[in-house]
Amino acid sequence: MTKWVPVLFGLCVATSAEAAQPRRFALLVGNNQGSGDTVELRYAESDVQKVAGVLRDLGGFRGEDLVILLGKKAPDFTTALDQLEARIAAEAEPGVPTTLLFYYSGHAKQGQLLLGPTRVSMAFLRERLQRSAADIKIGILDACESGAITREKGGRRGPSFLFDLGDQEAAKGMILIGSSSEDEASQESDELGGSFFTHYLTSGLRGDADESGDRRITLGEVYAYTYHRTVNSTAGTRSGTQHPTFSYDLKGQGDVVMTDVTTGRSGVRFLEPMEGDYLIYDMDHEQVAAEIQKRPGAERRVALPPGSYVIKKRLPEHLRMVRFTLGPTTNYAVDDQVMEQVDFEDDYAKGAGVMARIARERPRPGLRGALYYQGFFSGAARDQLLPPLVLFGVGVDAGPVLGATLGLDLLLGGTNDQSLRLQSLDIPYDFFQVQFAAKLLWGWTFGPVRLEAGPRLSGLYALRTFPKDDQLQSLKQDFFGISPGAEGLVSWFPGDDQDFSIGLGGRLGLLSFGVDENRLLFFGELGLSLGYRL
Amino acid sequence: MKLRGALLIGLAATACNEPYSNEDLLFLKALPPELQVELPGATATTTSSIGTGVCAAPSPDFTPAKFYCDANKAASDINAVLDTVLNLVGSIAAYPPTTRDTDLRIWGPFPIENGLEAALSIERIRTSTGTLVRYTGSSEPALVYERFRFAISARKQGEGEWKGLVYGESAPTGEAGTRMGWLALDFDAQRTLDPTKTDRGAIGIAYDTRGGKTILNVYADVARYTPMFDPEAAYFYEAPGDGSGTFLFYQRANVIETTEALETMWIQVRWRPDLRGRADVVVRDGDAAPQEYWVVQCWDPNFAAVFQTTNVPTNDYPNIGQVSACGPELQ
Repeated sequence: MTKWVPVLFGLCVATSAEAAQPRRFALLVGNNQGSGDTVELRYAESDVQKVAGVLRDLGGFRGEDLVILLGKKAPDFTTALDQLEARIAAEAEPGVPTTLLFYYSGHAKQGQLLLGPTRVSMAFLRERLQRSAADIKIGILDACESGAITREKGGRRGPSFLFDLGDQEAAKGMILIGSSSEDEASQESDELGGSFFTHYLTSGLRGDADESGDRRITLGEVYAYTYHRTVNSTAGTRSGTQHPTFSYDLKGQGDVVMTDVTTGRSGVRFLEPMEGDYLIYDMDHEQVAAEIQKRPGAERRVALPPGSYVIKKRLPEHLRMVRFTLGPTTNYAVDDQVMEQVDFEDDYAKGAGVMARIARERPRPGLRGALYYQGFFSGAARDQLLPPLVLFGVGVDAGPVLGATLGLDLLLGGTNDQSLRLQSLDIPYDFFQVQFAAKLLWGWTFGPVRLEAGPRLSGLYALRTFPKDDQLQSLKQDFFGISPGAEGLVSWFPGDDQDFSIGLGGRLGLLSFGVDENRLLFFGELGLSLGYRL
Repeated sequence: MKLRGALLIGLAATACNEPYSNEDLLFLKALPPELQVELPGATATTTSSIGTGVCAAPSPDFTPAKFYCDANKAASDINAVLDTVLNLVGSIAAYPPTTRDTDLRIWGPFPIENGLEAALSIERIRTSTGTLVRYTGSSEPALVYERFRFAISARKQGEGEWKGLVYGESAPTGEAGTRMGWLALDFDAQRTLDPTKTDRGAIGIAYDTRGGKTILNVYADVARYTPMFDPEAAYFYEAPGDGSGTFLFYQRANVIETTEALETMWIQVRWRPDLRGRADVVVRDGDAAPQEYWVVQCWDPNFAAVFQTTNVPTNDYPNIGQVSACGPELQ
């Protein structure tokens, strides 16, 4: 009898485990670069390394059967796929099931994988996987609009596969998984140090998806786990909820064991009574290695390679953290009692991306050099009072004050050989201006770019002299006024250390000019600045 | 001029912090501009590159252009007076006015020397129908709708009538960079306030720099104050801007010292852009009467006399060359 049910974990795993050891090949492709208008990704290539580590440690993939392409273009991809396919055909043995896993992390758009400036059609990829000599073909795409690859084969977004449990033949066929629907973005997280989807995929493969408790993670288990965690974690993000999709065309036994946690000799054990959400942070690679939702009643083991780790447990008021090292055969037993209490702001395991963002966002003392063009909006003011001017200056940033950066500016500028036309007079003059300003700028950070805006109050001293006029050469026509205004600044921090920045700024000011008659004069300043944060 | 130093101190003491406005500049530009009588070669009054000069000593091979030398000295005297006025104006202009009204700016009053106080006022006079003005004898009349009258006045501190020491008038020309007007320095008025002063009479100066020309008339009268009509000395300078020019000066002085009687002397100097020039000198009245004595002298670009003739019965002005040596424009 054929019965369609949601995945029942473990039923088929034992059968599959007792069969001949399968031969597994993988092509893992990552590219942070997109093409044209796409923003550079931060974690696509490191996500490939994460997946490779899990497959090597726990997935039964031999090192030589893992082909990794990072930052390569479409021709490299085609060549690698051809070579791998040739190996599969040549090295396949009768009775030994073969698996080809393709994983991609990077940009995708309109049915195309974007490998830097080159493209690979998802239809081409699907067709190549379909034609592969491997018995089981698994395609996992962690990319925007990656659901497009699952579309033609009745792809759907949903929490779990359905398996035909009545079929006892060896599994054959293809499963395609996209990290998002065909019209959704796939998102990265600085907190996780990778994409949401791959983070949960690897967390699940390391053990957290082991719903059945048999310490073997099937594709069905890890998909269901990854789906739920990705949907939950992205529900509150600006880009919107991300729904993984799948396309399933597998005949035979149904589910496929992806990892066997028992093969990892080192790892972390969460004992039976423990409960809560735990995050395991890999200090060596500065990224989250796994995330565990521990429920009481069963021990949970997460296989991890040797290295330095921190486990964090997030509580409403604070964190509990513990640092430990895994040796080749160490199985660290987590104990809530030995975890230290840490304030949120003192979290020392945040990841390079988060630390960089914090560094960008934290108001820090700094120095700036600036070059601004100043112009008054009124033509009469420009002609007769304050001519257009280039101002050079320096600035000091202090703070924080009221959550903003307190900045002090000193700007100087001058221009010679201007002409003042008063009735029939044409008076040559030189002009000088000095400006001292204080400002409060609140900021928002978007990757390496920071937007800042806030009020500015400046004192403006202008001096006009007439050295080339016989009658007025000893005269100094000067003016001092207080000018309220506002400033906006876009800064780009090109380096990882966030010390240097290049800024494009604009200012608006209002000057009350009370000589001869009372006038309110608006002026604007536009310029560039170079900053160094101490 | 001591007045300038006293003004500086006074102005500094009463300076107001109100900054200068553009309207203030309009008033200040009504004050006399930088004016100079510029005779070519004035910088070579001792020697020139060939060993001679405007006022070089005569030698067997070189007869200097004596009257051009005289004209240069007169021009230097005038320039000194003009510089004094300009410096005075510049000193005042370094400080913002103390009183502002729509058509009036006043600097001061502020104390100066010998218990006096002084003030500068500039008044704007506006007429809707316009006023026809002609400030120098050879200026083209101009219709103007506003004029500025200025005066540096002084009096005993806190009492008495204000006496104008330097005063005048100017008008916008409608032509950028040019000015026209007149001013007077009244030494008699200064002496009534401060009997220790020795300067007498008055000097009147009219100017017009429109059309690329510089016209400058200077009248001086030491004995009595009627400078425009019967001056003791008058200077008329006109430079059309091409390097040529005319400088005429008139003086009543004891030129012929037979008696104390005053003669009237006219010296008209004309020069061309290449520095060639001609002087026409006439002396009459006084000991000359009933005769009228004259001398004509022409010089070359090195200021060496190339033609000279006279009816003066002395050997001071021997005949030199032919009148054709003056060149076609100066014959």
